[in-house]
Amino acid sequence: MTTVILADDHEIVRRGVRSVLQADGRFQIVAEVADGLSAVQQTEKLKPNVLFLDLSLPRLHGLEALRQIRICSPNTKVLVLSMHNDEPYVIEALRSGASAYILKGSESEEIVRATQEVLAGRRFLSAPLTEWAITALAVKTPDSSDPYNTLSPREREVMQLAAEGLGAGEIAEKLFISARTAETHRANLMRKLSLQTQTDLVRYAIRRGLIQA
Amino acid sequence: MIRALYAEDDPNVAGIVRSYVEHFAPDWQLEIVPNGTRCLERMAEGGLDILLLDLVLPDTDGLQILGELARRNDPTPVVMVTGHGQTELAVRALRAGAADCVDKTSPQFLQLVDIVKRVQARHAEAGSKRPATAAVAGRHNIALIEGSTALPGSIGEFLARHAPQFDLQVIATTSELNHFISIGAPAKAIIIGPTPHQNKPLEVLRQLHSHTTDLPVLIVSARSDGETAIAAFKLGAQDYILQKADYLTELVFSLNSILRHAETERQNAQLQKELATLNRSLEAQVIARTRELQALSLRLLRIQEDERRAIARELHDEIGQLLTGLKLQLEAGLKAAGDSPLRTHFTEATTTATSLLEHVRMLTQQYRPRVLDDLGLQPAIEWHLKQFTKQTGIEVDFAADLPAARLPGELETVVYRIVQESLTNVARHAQAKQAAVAITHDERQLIVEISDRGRGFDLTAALAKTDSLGLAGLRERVNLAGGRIEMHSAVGAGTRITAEFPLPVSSPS
Repeated sequence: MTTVILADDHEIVRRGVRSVLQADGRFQIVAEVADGLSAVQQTEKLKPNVLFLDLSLPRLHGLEALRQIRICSPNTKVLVLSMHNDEPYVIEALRSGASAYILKGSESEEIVRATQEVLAGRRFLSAPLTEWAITALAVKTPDSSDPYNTLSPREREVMQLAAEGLGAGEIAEKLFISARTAETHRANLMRKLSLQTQTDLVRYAIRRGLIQA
Repeated sequence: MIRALYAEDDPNVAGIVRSYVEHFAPDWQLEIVPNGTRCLERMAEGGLDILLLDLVLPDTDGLQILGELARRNDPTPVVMVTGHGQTELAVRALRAGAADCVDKTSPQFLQLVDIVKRVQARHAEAGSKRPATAAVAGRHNIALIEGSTALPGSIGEFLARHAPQFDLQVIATTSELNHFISIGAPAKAIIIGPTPHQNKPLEVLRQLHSHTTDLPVLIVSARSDGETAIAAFKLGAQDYILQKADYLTELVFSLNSILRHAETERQNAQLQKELATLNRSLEAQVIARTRELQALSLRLLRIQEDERRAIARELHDEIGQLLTGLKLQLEAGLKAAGDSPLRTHFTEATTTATSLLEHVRMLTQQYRPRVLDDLGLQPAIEWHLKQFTKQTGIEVDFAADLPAARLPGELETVVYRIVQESLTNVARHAQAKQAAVAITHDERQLIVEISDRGRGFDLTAALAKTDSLGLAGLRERVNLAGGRIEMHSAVGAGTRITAEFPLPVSSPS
């Protein structure tokens, strides 16, 4: 029997999830809580196999509760069950140690499927989120060991123009930004690349093949 | 028409003037009196526009009459008619308030009519302004510093007769003078006589001015030496009168003139003071009112933001959760229905619940993205840009370099709203395919910049529109947050909005 805690401040949601899990027959619900703090306390005490965790919880935000639970009960698999379909929440939840992110309103089968997946040691995302995650993965291939990859596209443009010898005013003109912003971009990129002077910058640009020596 | 009175004892001169006036100014009413007494009587009856006054009359002279008219506060302008060799007297008459002088022995006398017309016109123009030498209203104490007894006697007598508005207080001894200087006296002006005790008049003047008194001082001198007079004026004397025949009349004019001048000065100073006070209070009012308005705007924005947050929360946390629960129940129902006819109904109800849930999510984001409160500015803007591109097809280049620590909530809100609002403007008006948002910072400030290469607009015209959603609203929002906004736009050249906000002083971490 898989032990489960439900953490959601809405009775109607808990009831829904409960009925889905009970219909399956392989789960035992050991506690139901309505706020973040109780979620942490009960999980620490009962050490369930699975915790269904809402993010918008009173007393302690779900993300913070998640972080604490990862420490006090590392073997509990946490399935975030949230209304938020915004990527930043998903990223934050996964970073904080959630095993699954299920959107509220998904098919009820997903709840059971997700539980099976995480118990098998895999991760699970609701269908729309999976698609987004794959796209993000396909786009982002930065080699973070190279500081050049940490530059934003705009900083790279500024870098190019600065290396060609343009002043902040001219760069601003070309990129249609203010001179102050151009100056800040320049200062930031210098900092990211650990460059001190204009000569350093030109040398760096030549080495990277951005300009001809 | 001019009603003129001519006081002239020489019937020949009177006759010439009469025929002259009849010829050149037939519309005048000219009356002629032969002496001073009759002149003063006629002046008392009034109804005259001008007085032509012979300087020398059988019973009195022109200066005495001027004095009497001044005492009566008679505003009628006086033109002195002088004879040969009376230049000095004429000058004194002018000083005493005569409007003009004409020498009956010179060819200038033929222009009498023009002179009178000119004087009369000038007088009419001056309107009710009284001549400076008219007697000052009310009674006035005058202190006379003089050691001899003859002078106070004659001055006192003259004042009693011709200028009873002045009360003379004589300071005859040194101790009296010291007392006067140290205690002060209710005097309006001081006359220093030719022999004030042991000291010379200028010594006394110096003594007076070295103490607190700022009373006007007039010197009556027995010596007509220019250097003394100049020294006296330099020491701050208001007037310097030579003690010779008729000097008493001049003294009265001088006193009147000095007191009037002092009164005007006092009134001016008072008015200046009132004006300054008024200005200060107006300024303070404007500042206070502006502050009130700003406080109100700020409150309005906060309330609006709070309300949006509350609505978003309500939609998300209450309606959304209820719908989630409902949907799970419907799905359970769907399962339980098996192959019965109820299945169709459950399927439809489930679909409806799903689309309701989508709706609630969308509304929540429109009111206020939860990401902003929960995760901060950068994820919130990134999320917003994604939605924006999806809806409008406009690609947005986003460069963010934010401080490591989260910004104060209000600043995050302002920045988010400015980016949101500016991009809405881009979508509505710019006809651009691309836009750029950059957030950078240094130690002191946060710089937010939204730019596009679209068609631009006439900035002045756009700012004049005061609808709260427009550029004026944007500017107000930035100003209320203590920031500064710059907008660059020109038709065909794109638009760039740069806002700078002071960053809170970072505590040493």
